Amino acid sequence: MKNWIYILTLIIFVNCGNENKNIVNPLQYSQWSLYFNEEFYTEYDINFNASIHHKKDFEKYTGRNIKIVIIDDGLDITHEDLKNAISDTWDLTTKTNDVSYTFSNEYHGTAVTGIIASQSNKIGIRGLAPNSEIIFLKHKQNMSNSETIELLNKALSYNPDIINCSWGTYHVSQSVKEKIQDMAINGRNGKGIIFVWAAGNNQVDISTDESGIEEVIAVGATNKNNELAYLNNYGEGLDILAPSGDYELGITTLDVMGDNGIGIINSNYILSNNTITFDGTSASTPIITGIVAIMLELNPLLTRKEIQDILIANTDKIGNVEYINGHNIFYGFGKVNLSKVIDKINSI
Amino acid sequence: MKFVLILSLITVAFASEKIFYIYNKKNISLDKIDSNVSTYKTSNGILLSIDNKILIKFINLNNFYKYMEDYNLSKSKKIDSKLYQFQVFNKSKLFNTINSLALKNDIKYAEPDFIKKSILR
Repeated sequence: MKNWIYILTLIIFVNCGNENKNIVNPLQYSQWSLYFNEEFYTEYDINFNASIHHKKDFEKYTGRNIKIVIIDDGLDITHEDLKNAISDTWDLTTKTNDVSYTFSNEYHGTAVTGIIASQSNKIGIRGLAPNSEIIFLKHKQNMSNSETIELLNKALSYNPDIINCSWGTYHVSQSVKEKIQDMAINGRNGKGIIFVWAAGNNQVDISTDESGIEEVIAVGATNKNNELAYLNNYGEGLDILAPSGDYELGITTLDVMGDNGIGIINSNYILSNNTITFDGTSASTPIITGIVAIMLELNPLLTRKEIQDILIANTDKIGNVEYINGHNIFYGFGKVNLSKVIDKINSI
Repeated sequence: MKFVLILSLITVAFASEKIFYIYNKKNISLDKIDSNVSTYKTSNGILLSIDNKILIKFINLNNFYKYMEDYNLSKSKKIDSKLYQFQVFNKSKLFNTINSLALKNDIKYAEPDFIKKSILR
């Protein structure tokens, strides 16, 4: 009898550690930016190296115990693929926890959140860090500097590890810049909060943008051809690229449930071949956020600077361009490679 | 000749008001594009709106009340450590006020509390 109890306990314990191993999320096959899937890649003529090189074996890393603040335009907290993913919400305008959308055609924050936190649950897709703790803060479409600082202070109150911003103003003021720098240097009990910021898609220099701040990870985008995505911004401050597609093929993520949002083929999801695609740097930024969550799960003691250094030292140098001291203003330090990053952290 | 004169008059009539503020010891030039709602455009085309609020980052607070009085500032609100928001009574003097305050030894910077569009990417 004792042996049976021992074996049963062992089975439960082993299964706890591999909770995601046998779960098949029905739309996961179309997450081309994360995984190579031969059938899907052939159908859409996707470059063999277009993904971040995620593997089934890496799904044991789920962002557990990592706290992520997402600042965006709104969130469908009732989404079927976000059940139990969101730990708290707050809206800058109403000062309440209602972060639902102002307009029925909005979807951005839900799409961003899905890339990071979609649950591994036999529904929809799989986020990169499904067990991370997500706090969603709704910003305002027009925000003053003082309101931006209020929002950042709210984020800080959760003591987050990572802050994801798939938006920007192109004109960061001194007060906001100092606040971001202070949090990136002194937050997380001195290890530094990791700001992951979309560089934008307007073919402009990011030097005056939030993403251009040195202590921030500025993220550009690549497409299905493993090339720079259409209209990527550029600059000395551009750090890294991640695959999210462009007008040719976007990525699959969450839409607002039901009739709202932009999902055409599937009303609850924005499929990669949806009429309006979700792509560009808004979509590539949460991919880096998810990867950073995995990095911190592997080693929670890594500082913000160490995270940045490991990420940029383990990229793929795509494009036939010259990287001066490892950097190119259009390609940053190259395209993220999850496999290399995990190998590096495991070797430390 | 007449055409050139008319063109010049039109140009002058629609010319935007130039203004500047100090950012990190550099003069940032702005074009005023809407006199009613105080909207400005940066050199790279970004629209910034202001009302009558400014932000001042103090190095120390020794002259906090003196500056309030000297510059006719009101309703202070603490935004962050040594960072305060004030209202300027005369909006037309907002840029003069912040540019003068920015030169004080005990003030790290002064800037308009710009309202900007958060552009989704």
